[in-house]
Amino acid sequence: MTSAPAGPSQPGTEPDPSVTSLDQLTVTVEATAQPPTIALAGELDPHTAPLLQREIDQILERGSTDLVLDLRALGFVDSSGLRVLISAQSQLADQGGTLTLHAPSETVRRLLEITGLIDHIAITGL
Amino acid sequence: MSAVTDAQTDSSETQTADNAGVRLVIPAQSRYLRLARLTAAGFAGDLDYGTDAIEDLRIAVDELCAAVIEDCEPGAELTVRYRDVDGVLLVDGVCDDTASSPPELHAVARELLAMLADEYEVGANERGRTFRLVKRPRPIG
Repeated sequence: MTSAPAGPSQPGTEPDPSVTSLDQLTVTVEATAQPPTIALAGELDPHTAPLLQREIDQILERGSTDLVLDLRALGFVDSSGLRVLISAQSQLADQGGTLTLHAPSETVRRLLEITGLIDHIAITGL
Repeated sequence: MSAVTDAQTDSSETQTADNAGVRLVIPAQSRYLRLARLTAAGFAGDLDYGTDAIEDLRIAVDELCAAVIEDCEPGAELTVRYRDVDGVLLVDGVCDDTASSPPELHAVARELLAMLADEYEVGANERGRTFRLVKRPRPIG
């Protein structure tokens, strides 16, 4: 796993956005955006899903109630990735917030349709 | 040496033949699942499966491979065989972790497989945890 700042940062503060990669998944986090945004590029599977889970957990620990996942560059997701999305949606909903999936690819959108998640999670950029 | 390199250089790891199909041997670790997905997509593409069927297959193979390698012993290997039988794609796999009980599929995985696979089964035998998947080019009905 590698991490690198993707933009200017001040000493003592986390870079924003921050970029973390694990093999076939790159996660770019804009924690200070309103709402916070996580952009995913690559493939979300049992190997990479824990990386996304960690990033979501960190954002929730900061007290955010809304979160946007930018999925435009996500080419694959399986049940392990869907479980992360479902968990995030549930946690945010419990706090009165919303998980929004932005611009899912055709492949990912089809999976959201098949599982019925498309009716339960806010989706923009279709 | 990575599984990719093994597959490219060691003919004992990947075998191809018109009727025998393709056999992929990879470490039973989640980081190598993408190789099983890639092989599935390539094999189905050669059989003229459509885009949606190939996507279905990638996910189904991923789910079943993930199930059989979950919590397996270090050093275990996953062998996946892809075959074309009368125009129907058959995929079977075994994770040589003989100490394991039959794999358990998560609820979401079961839901996906019910929608994406024409037939599937998971189990365990003397060789380890196993799965079998059938994917037809289009629904029969």
